[in-house]
Amino acid sequence: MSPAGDLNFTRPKFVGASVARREDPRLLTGGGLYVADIKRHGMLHIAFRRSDMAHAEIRSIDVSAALAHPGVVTVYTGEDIAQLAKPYRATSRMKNYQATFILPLAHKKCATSARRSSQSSPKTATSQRMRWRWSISTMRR
Amino acid sequence: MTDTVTVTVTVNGREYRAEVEPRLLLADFLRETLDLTGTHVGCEHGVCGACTILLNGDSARSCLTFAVQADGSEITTVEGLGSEGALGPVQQAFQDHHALQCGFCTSGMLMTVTDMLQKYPLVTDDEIREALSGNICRCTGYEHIVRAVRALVDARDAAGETP
Repeated sequence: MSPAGDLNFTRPKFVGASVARREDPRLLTGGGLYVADIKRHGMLHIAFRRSDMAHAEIRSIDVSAALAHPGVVTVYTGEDIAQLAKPYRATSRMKNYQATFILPLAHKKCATSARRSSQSSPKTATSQRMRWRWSISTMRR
Repeated sequence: MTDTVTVTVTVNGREYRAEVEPRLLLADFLRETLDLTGTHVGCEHGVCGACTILLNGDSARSCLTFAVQADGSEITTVEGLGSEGALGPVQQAFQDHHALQCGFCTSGMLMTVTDMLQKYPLVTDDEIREALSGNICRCTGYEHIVRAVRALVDARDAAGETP
């Protein structure tokens, strides 16, 4: 008999049935492995410092206090990784959408718009300027 | 370096003793120090309920409790409710009624439900929803969780164990 003519072969097994999930016993007993549960040798905690101001120009970032904090291994700013990471350009099919370049860490500006940065002029004096002083109390855990 | 404090707790029937910093949260103590990662940390400020445990029999937020506060206490976590081969009644009801999807909120849900079954009559589904309101689930829409609890309440009442 051909497989197509075999009812037991062609009839779907799970349609209309309540199917017990295989992962449930694991998840119900605390055996799930979520990202925060993963431990690897030498793994460190990371903390991100987010800008207090939107679209501000970064004049300088003083990381000395953060580096001096006990347990802190290193501090990276956008400048440190500028050579490693190419900006990503996020586009949209939306009409008149202004695509922006996105960096993994802020560099020079908190958010860089391609058009505006090329048009930088004294007229954009409304953009806020900031100096970051980094003090960290929660970085080490 | 910060001074440490000795903490002795009984977790799921087993006694643990550890030197911890006074600022260490109970949730981090369970997860990092004791390696019991079944207790999850979602919001870290007492809103989502994922970190719920039983502290001396009462449900408590382990993210709002310091490990030193739990010194001398009895703790039950999700790992203490049953095993994969032998699910506890609350765990079994959750599986039977498809009351979980990703499982992240499930540990806290199970602890909260274990507590509420011992304390409240839960006559109506509204009362069940009220009792579940401190635990947030983003997968299930709560309907199946309420059904699982309803089945547990009915079984409890049929056994004459209504609080």
